[in-house]
Amino acid sequence: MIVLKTSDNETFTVERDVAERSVLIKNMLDDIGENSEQAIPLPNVNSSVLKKVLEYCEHHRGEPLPAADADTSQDDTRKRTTDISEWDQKFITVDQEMLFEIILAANYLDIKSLLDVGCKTVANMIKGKTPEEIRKLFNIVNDFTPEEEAQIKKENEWAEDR
Amino acid sequence: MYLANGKPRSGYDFGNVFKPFCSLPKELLHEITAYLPVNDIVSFCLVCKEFNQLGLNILYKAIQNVNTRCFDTLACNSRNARAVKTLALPSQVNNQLDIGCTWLGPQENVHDPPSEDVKAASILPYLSGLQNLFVPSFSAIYTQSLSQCDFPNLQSFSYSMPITQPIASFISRNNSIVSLTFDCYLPFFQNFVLRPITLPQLRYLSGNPQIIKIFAQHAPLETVHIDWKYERARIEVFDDALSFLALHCCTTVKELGVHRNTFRQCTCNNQILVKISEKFSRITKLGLNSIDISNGSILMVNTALSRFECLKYLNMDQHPPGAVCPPRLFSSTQLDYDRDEALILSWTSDNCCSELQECQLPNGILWCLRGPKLWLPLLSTVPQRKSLLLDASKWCECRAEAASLDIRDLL
Repeated sequence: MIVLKTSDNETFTVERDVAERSVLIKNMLDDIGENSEQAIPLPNVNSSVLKKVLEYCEHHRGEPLPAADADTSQDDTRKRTTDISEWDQKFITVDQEMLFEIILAANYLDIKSLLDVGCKTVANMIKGKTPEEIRKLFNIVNDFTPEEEAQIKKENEWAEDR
Repeated sequence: MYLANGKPRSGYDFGNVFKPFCSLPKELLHEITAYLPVNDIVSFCLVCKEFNQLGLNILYKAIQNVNTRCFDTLACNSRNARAVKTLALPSQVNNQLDIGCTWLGPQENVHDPPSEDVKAASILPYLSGLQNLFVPSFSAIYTQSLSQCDFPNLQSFSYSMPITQPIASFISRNNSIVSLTFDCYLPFFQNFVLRPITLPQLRYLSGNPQIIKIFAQHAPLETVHIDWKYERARIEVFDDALSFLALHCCTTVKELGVHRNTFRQCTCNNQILVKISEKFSRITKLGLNSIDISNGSILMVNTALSRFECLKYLNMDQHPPGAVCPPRLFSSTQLDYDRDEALILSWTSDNCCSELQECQLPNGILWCLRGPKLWLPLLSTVPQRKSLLLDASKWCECRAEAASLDIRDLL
């Protein structure tokens, strides 16, 4: 069993293989060796988010971890799928704030599959929306002048009909 | 299983500090936008200035097979131009030829707007972030333009015309280049003497023997593809380049490939193998084609292969990208798995090629090491005909059974 300590000083006791879904924790455990009773401090994750993250790790325990460089070549092809499995879909149905917290935590803890689920979810939220709808969605202020906006529209026209 | 330890929460609740979308780190925003289709990225660019920059980096990352308007945009906006990482230049449009055909009728539109290649050539100097550049053949229009360009991050450069002085100086100035590919009938025009070029980062090189000699002296080459499809039967030219490469890069070269045109057969393929084995005994990957492994020549091949100490992958059926392979006629009598297996086992016995894991024979069939001394042909490389596939899979099952392994675990 592994003890994890969150930013708000709560401790979680989890089985090793669940905790090791996080590459960060796995590396830490490799560093400090087998029989350490010490709690692992996770200063960038709070308890409500870690609870959620561990729920994910528990569900996916035992699945093979993706290779470290598996995604780099995919990035270029621009044909990445945004499909999310049913369980993950249900799991990630949370409010926007929690969604971003999960993405940040997955990035910090280095849990590639969870990070992908988070990013795909945000991408799906953006898909098919107009610029104005995207602004509303994320509460973003438009800092373009109408001229700038028209200019960018014109410049990027080539991309839309390729 | 996890248990919260039940301590009272501290007064400050971290969960309430709201983190908006924009506060996500740049690389995560990039990760998210990389999932978006092009039309959504265009919308994304229009949201705000920060998103615009993020979107541009994806939209303009790789420019290939795009319409002319893309080059217009790049010409008038330096920010877009800087975002370009990969560029495949369009082939030159030959206006001269069209204008020359006056006998077809009066020429209209003499003052055409500049064509795609002219525009593409004009934007080259603005692409300061460029990493990969592909120049097609018969497009001399880019040569002049390139002579004025500096790409501080250029990593791979592919060029399909004879090298001229402007191009030579372009290459030697952009010394961040890691990968160079030359695909041209003539490496240079007659009487043009090119001096050796120093590229301290160059690891991958593909080109004719003359090209190899220009770069091998001052580069830590690791992967070299010698393109010999245009040369006639003069093995001296090849031998000369190989000796030169061995002299300067024999400690760094790990992968070696020789591209021959299989339609222009000559009997020197086995000689090439022998020469490589004498000069590069420590390479890990070797690709050649049309090695003769018939009974009359096998001794020569065996001796050559026994020199390799670290060879992991051997391909005796390697063809240059885009090459048309000669048709192969197979019948089940021609495919003798017992003989091929015996050959591979003899190559990998104790002292020679003991590291070998994959071996593609001249007939195109790839053999993989599946267990101690257990080599099996890969069924996807067997000619895709029912009788031949059945023969092959039956043979594999026999071998697996003899090794008391389940074939389903192996394939």
